[in-house]
Amino acid sequence: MVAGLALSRRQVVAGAAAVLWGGAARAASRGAATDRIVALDWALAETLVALGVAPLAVAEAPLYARRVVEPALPAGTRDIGLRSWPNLEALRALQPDLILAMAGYGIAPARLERIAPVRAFPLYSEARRPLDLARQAVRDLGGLTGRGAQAAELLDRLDAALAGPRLDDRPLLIVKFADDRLLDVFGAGSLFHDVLRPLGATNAWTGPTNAWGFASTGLEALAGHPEARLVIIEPAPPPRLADSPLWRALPQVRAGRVTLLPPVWVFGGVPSALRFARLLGAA
Amino acid sequence: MIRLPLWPGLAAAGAILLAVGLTLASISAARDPAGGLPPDFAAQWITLSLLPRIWVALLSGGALGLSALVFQQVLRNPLAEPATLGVLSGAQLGITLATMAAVSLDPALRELVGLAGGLAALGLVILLAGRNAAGPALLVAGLVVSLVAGSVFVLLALFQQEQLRAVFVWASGNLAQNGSGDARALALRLALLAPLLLLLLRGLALFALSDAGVRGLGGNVVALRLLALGLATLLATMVTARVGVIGFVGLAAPLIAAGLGAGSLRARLLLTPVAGAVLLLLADGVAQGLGRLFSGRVTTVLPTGVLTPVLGAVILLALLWLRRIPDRPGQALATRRRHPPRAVALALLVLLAAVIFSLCETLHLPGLSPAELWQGRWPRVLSAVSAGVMLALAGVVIQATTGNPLASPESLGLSPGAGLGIVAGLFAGGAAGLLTGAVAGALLAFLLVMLIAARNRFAPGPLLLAGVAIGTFAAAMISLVIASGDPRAVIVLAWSMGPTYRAEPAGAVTGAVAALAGLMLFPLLLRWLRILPLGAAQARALGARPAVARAVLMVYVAVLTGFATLAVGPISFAGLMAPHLARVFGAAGPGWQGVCAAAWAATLLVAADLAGRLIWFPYEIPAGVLASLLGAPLFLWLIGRRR
Repeated sequence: MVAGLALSRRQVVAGAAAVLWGGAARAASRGAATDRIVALDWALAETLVALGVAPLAVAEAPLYARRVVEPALPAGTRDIGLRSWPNLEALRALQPDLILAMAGYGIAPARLERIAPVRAFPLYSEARRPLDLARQAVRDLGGLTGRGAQAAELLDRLDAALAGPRLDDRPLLIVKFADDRLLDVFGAGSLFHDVLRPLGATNAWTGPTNAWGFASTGLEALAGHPEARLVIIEPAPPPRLADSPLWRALPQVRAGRVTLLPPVWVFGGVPSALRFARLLGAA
Repeated sequence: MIRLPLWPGLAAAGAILLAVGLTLASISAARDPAGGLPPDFAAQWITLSLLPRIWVALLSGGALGLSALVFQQVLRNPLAEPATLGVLSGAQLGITLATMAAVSLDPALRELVGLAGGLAALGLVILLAGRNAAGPALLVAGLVVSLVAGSVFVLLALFQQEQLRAVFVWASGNLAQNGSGDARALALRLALLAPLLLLLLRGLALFALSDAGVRGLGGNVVALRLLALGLATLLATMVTARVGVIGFVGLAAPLIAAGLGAGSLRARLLLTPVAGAVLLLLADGVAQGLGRLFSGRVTTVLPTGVLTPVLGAVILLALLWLRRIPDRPGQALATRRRHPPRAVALALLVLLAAVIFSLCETLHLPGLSPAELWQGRWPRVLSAVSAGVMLALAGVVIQATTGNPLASPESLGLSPGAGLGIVAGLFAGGAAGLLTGAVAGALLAFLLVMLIAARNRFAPGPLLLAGVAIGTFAAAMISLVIASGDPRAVIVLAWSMGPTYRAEPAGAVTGAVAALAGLMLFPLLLRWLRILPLGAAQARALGARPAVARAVLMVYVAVLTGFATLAVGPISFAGLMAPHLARVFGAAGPGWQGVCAAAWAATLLVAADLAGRLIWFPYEIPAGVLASLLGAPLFLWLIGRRR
């Protein structure tokens, strides 16, 4: 784990250096691979950084640091406004060669096209296989930025992580709390669901999910899967949850099968899948 | 004491039976092994969650009902209650602010900040309404304060997305319980406060005299009234702190009690809290029942607080339809005759300056020239101008036809109706859906309001109340979408806030054409606007057909509001304010007033769009939110000047 992390840091540094030395020349020749990229979506921003590309700007960059955590955005990455609505004038001022967006979310690509070419990736959709689509996004971005080797290496790391030590076969409930009475539980169509299968674990949640791969529900829905381990993605639920009698009555809580996982971006790409697999293995 | 009328009595009995039946159904569903709950947990679930939930519903409903009764008695206004006077919105804002400062608040601290917010809102509303506390001015002051508090709330949520979910989930009124803590706390507080309030009310009833009589008896009575209002606010805000914003229970409960024939204070004291408790239990039963009905298919939870405005709005509109709402006359604003052409010239000059500055500034982007920004800027400036023009014309027409200076697309529920239509259109898909939804929403809302108003002879109280009902209903539906956790919620939120920055060339031109058409048709409507206020008989004598005139004006207003809402969202206040601004600057008569109001409303929205771009760069604040933040104080100053 630690080695993997160090490697990715080294890549980031190498990528930053590549931007400094080769960025200007590359941008000058239009149509060729580019580094002047703005990412409006965090799954694509994290993928860029993992490939060693420093994005010009990322939407809601300060919040990225708390929700996505790693790979960290290089210092100097600009904030371009809301993910759902970036500042178009600031975007124009940056003169990017490429804009990355999540298909079906936020501003219509047609409007961005007037500023720079746009690539919209449909990671989360009714297709419900975000990990496959995230792998494809890595390959595509590798091609667009001239980092095919890094892309292949990132995918190898993912394969290695997913082929790593099996988890025990206890089913898991992956949840994130909205407040102390309402939570999101991740099922088919979520990144976590796709990561669990190759790791040999099963997702206990077989109920319906929306196009982004989760369902909102109360605590009682968890009790229907008494044998499962409860994995809670941080930010942690409010402290008063732990004091509430209903929480203490949950079968998983009574059996002590509750794991708190540091923040992982729930609508992430391959780097988030790697982070989730690593954190889950370490938990 | 209570002479129960037959039909309302039967309806009440039916409601009680339904509430009890739905409650029993949710308990038996928990016991059902097919539900998938392990038996030992099911027992815990019933005692730790379902039973406390019933208590919380009953206690919260009762508390809101009692609180509303105190408001009405003390302010002598049959429509005053915590929600309509902005107390709940104030509490919501206070708690939201505190939540954003500290990630998690324990319930006692929530109650404290909620109380502070509620008291602040109440103080502001009473201050603004002044001596008109018994009239509809109080209601409008309350509407304005709660809309402003609401737009600050949305603004915070929009830019604090870490907290967005939690805050909306709480604010939407989720009655789910994780233990009996809230039920105990509510019971304790109600047990302490209710007897105190009953004593105070009985005491105040002895002084049920005119204000002059009260003053003759000394200042103690005023102090007692303030104390009663403070305690009632505490009662309402503690419910908000525990279970979120439960709208309309406070408004509907006293009306239901009155509808059941409770005339004396004693009868109302008895019936109002019971009506509130049953209403909330019923709403919660329906929420849980719908959840079970669609289990296995839906991926979200239906909060009870979303249903109470729906139930409450239906009851309220029905009561308005049956004309069981008492009415107080409002007073018309005096217009000044000064120099209309000069007023219009001034307004147009200010507008021109605002437009030019907005198109040319490069304060945050020194590297770019205005020419490079022109392509992105002209659509938003144009759509702000046209939305202002359309809202102002709609406002002038509505105020003239209803003869009510407080009526407007915003206060009569047209703009919220259009906003709801836009959200429906957004999910139904397509740009065409948005426009159709906006116009259809505005038209439906207006139709409903006018039907109700006509039955109440266009009395100002019922008219505004119907508007409030529709506006709250629309807001509740929109917050349901946001609380669902669908990532598109952010888009809905931004849409509902009036994003001029989303303006596209095609949309801006369409809006401008609509505004131009509105301006050109306006002179043709002036005759009707002058004749209609004289009354139907007079109008017929002068050769107009009032029914036709009203229908045409209604469609005119709805189309303009629909187009405008698409550009700046439902809460800009431009339509409410602009006619008054025009009057202040000396434009008299509907004609001059329309043109002058159009220019001022356009200026307001251009300024709001500009400020939204500059304040928080690179984040952009929707112009609708800023317009209401800028405009509401202005409006309140304008109505305050009259005194």
